[in-house]
Amino acid sequence: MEKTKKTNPTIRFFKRLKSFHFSRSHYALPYLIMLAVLVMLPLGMMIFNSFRHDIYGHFTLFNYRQFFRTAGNWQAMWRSLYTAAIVTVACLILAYPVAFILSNPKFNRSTTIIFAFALPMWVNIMLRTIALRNLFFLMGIDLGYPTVVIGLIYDFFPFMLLPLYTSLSSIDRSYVEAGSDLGAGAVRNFSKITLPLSVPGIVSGSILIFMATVSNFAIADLLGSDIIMFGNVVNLLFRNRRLTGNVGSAFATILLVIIVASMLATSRLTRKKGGGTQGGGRL
Amino acid sequence: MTKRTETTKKIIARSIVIGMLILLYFPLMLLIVFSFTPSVAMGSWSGFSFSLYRDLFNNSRAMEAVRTTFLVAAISSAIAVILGTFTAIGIFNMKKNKQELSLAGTQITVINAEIVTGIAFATLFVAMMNINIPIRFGYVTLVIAHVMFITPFVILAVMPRLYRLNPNLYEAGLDLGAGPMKTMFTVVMPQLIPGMISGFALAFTISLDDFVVSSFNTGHLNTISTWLYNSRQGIPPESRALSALIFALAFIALVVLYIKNKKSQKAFRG
Amino acid sequence: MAKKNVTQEKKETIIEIKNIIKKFGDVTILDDVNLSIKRGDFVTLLGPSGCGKTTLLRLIAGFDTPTDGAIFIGGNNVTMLPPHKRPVNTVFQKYALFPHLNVFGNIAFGLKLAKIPDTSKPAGKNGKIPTRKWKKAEIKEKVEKALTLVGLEGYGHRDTNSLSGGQQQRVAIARAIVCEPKVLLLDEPLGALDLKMRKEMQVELMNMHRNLGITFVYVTHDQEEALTMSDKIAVMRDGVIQQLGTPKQIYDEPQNAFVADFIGESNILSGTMIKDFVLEFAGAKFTCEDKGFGKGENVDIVIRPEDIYIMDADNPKGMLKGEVVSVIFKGTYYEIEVKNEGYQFTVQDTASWDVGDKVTMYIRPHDIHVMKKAKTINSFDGVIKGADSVQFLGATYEIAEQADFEAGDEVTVKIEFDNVELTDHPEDAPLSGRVTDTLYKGKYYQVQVYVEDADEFFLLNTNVEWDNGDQVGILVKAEDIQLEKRTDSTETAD
Repeated sequence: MEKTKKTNPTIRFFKRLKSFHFSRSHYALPYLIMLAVLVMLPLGMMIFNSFRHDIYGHFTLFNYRQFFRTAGNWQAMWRSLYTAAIVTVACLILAYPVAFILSNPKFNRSTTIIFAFALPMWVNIMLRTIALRNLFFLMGIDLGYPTVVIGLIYDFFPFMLLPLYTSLSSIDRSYVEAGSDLGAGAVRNFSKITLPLSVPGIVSGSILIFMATVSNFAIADLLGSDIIMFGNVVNLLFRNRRLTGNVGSAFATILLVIIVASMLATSRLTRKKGGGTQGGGRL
Repeated sequence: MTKRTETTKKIIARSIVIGMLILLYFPLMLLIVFSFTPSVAMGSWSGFSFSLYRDLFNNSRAMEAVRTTFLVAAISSAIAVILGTFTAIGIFNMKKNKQELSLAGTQITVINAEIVTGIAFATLFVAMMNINIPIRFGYVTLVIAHVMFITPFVILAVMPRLYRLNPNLYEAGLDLGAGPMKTMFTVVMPQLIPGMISGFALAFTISLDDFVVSSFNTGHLNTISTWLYNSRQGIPPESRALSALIFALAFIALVVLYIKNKKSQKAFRG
Repeated sequence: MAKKNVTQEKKETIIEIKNIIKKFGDVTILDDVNLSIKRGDFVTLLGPSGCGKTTLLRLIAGFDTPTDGAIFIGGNNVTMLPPHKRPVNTVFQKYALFPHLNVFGNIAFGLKLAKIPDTSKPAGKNGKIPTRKWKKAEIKEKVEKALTLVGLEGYGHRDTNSLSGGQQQRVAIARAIVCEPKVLLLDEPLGALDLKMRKEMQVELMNMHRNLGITFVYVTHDQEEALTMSDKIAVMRDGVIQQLGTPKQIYDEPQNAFVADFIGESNILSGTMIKDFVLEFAGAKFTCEDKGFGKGENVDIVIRPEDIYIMDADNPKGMLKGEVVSVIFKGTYYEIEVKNEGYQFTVQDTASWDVGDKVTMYIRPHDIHVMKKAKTINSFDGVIKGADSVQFLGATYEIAEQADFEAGDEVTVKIEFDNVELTDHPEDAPLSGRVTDTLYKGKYYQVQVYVEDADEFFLLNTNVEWDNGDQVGILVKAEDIQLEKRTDSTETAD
């Protein structure tokens, strides 16, 4: 007890290492360490950079002021946010009936059709967008905001369908049958049993679509002649010949803050409702 | 409920599904049809020919993009499956508080906007270059970025399998004389294979389809997405041939899967 | 209650569990458990869910490590040894068969990993015995033998999912015994089977135990299963072994009310020992075969329902008058509830009575089981004498300086069994008494001292063996005396 206090820290470290008892939970360590170094640290660095001047390197709020200086910036962000909302809701409305039908053994017993819906995901997002663009040309439709929205829905639709299908088909059919046994009508059965139980799928599908839409700038470039989304602005800041990366970091940080705030708000809302969604649900 | 309303319901259901499939496939079909005619702009038919396919194989940038895309998808989903399976096992065996925290942590890249994630990766790589770590934008950065944002999907695919496992299975392995590692590989892992397969498929698909994260971390290397985006002023007509080829590949995979499913269903019934 | 014989039996001890404590966070699952299991015995850990029986089994298997204490198997300390290095195998409640392997693969799993001494090669330089693996043909032979033993010949190629629950459990047993462990651990192995299957498997397990000669440690919450199958039963509750004994001992001489109640349906009453062989309960006096209790000591009394005889109210042999309040036919007997001055007796009788019948009951002296009230702490009424002393049982003890009470305050004095010391010299202690009972508890003796002046009993745990009749002095350290404000409710406590 008298001498151990003075041991060399390196020796202590190795002693610790020796007494390290490997348990099954440690299988997660490699990825969790990678997560810290390759995801959390970069996010921290991005936020750090967002407070530094691109040329002089001093700490400043200049980058954030840039965002509000030009109306185009926050208009683009606002456009991206409400477009994401529209696309998410549209995908949900379109995908839910399909997922419901495919997951219902009354209508479909095969798992192959769901793959048919996933198949276009293999054809690259750009190729899908180009296909749509060609179709618009053929049909003589002018490119603009509506074509961008249609393009986003078309491209991301499978990302909503798959989680919905997974959560709907994992619902125990006996719940639904018990519901009809107890005399619940089809509508009531759906709203009281099926819909609440598919909430995890709705949540994870919506998160996937919203985040993909709010980020995307290529689709706007290809399908909207002069529609500027938030992604276009940020992309430009990073690809500029002039040094504007830290300004871009500030813009990205603003988006990050909005996302985190809305996530916290929704999770609090669902928790208040007592809906035990398991951390955003699963795919 | 009468039989009639039941059949009407089935017809409605079927038409919804078929309608959606037509909407989904129509633009692609159009592209495929016009991949057999050499005209630059789609819509005008200038005779049947495979010239776009020849052009595609002669276009070195296109070939490089295809190679990069599939190579990065294959490597990063292979890494992601191993990493994600281990992580799922680890998180599953954590105590409740740690478990919730870790699971939430792994989902950061899923619930974050891709553009933020992409920029963050790029920030890290630039910082690494600034302190003379020998790294260049290219394959390595692409694979690292892809691994980090597709692994959560593998975790999500493997996790439900773990919950369905007999809780004593691991202990039974130890009990019969296999060490902890051996038990993990010979007893637990085989049970997770279906989850690992669907995790791999999901990871591979997402990696193939990615544009935003790749575009910030690819440097001068091109993936299919970045190649097409960069040449958006004049989209090369051979992209139609590329669509057709990838579609054909995926379609064959689907058919194989369908036949296999049918067979296993028969075997199960018999 | 006679003192237990502490001498060792001839059979060798295979498992020795010493002072095992297991805590999960703040919750104590096992509280100082001691148990030794003899080679070849069929020992059952019996208790309600949450009593710690499965945890104890898991500690023996090595799936968990104890918070404190040691486990020896075959004389080796295995406390920290991982499960794959222990000479035990486990049969799990939900079988835990490997789904990706067929029946053969499951049973061969352990054999393929095992290393056995190789007699064909000479011993190594440092006396190391060379080892080899089982040959393929040997494995095949052993697996087939094991399959035959569990009655599943020719099932080797079958998929485990295609088997019934009973068959799966047989495979699990075959998988565990094929490695010839020193000890077979069975964690409620029949819990998931239906009644008929369970009865069949009970008989088969007993046969297997007899034929294999392996020690079985069996966990169950089913009393009947425990009584019919075991050589020894350890009844557990709240992480403590309440009693270890043969099924007959457990059933006939339950050590306390819990064991009696858990092991079978019983009438448990509070009573008072009037003197040796005489006691009083339910308002009447009875003769019994128990002695050695203090005069007027409160005791628990256990009477089995089948040991009470119901007779017409005017029968002179009757001891307790009562009235029949319910009669239920149970197939081979009637379960009759008889009410008597507040007590309700459950009686099993082959003759039927009608509700409302006035009856009398007769109980044979040796069917009255008298047990000590389970206590863990001495509790006496006392009076504060000053800042540093308290008086109880007519004696004055020093206490730690306190400011909560004033002289003259009435208090309840509490002293834990572990904190009392006895001395050979009664004159050295404030209080003296006579040892009236010592009870061997596996690791220590529980001694009861009768203080004649106050007509009270002092209970204590000690490592020293005292004889009944010894005159002793009772010593308690000042800091070990706990004082509580006396309220009316505490006075009614026994």
